Amino acid sequence: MERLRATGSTRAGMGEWLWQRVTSIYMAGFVVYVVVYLGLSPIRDHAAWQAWFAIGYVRLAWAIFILSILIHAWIGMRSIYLDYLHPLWLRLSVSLFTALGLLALGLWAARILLA
Amino acid sequence: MIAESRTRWRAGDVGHALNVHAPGERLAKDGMHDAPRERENIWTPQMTGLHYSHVGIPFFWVRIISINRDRNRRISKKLMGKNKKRPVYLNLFKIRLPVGGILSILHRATGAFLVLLLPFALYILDLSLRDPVAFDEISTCLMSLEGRIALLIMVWAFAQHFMSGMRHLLLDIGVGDSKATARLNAWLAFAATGVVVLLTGICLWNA
Repeated sequence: MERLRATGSTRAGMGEWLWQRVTSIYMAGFVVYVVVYLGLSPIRDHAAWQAWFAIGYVRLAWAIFILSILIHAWIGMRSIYLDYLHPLWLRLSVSLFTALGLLALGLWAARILLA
Repeated sequence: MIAESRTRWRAGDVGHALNVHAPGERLAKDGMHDAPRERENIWTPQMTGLHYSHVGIPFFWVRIISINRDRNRRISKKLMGKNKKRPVYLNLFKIRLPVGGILSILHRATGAFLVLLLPFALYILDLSLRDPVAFDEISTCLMSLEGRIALLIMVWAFAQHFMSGMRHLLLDIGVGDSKATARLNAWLAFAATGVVVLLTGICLWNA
């Protein structure tokens, strides 16, 4: 037990694992809700599209959805990199590129939703 | 025997594991396991081929040492030789994954594909919310034949990722992770994806 704790393996990756599940559950619920909602009352023109996005809780739900996508994407891509990119410089540079890209997407989404 | 091999676990039944050991590959553990007889009795005077009364005579020690060295080499050859010549299947096309493994790989592939789609999706969202003209342009573009095909591919990628993700969530809470059901629900995930793609295709055809 001491040895396990010393190598830090006891809870390593537990946070990522949990975040991946939490975000996936939210996104699944959101997507199913949006598909069913838009299926029942389709949006046909720009005015209706804008009016739907003007509703406060819709905007909030989209914001949480996009944030969930970014968290989920980061953890997922990171685990892909850790499995398949072995040279450290490649892993670090690709991870940095992804992180900056996702961050930019997050800022862009914030600008869209706060506008 | 047949029944046993049917229910036996294979690597990749639940997830994919690229560090699976190829069939026929001898693990170090196996090598240790099948040579206990050679390993346990390290040395006996009988092995030298000399009468036991000669063993204590320094004149014969050179011969005893060389016999011992040959024997050690033989053992290490037996243990390591097969491992040295083992097939290393890093070629993904030579590893035959079970359906769960294929599903798991597809989960990753579609996930990466969806991440690559994110900037375009956000661009379309931004443009469609800002500009009424762009909204109409985007709708006509998506409803053209190429747009419908592209939409269907994206829906396939999402549905594939969604269904295998659902399966992962259920496996995590212990639903369907038994030997018999793990492969079945992998097939079910494929079937559900197919149903979603089919329904979307019908909707897009009629729209």
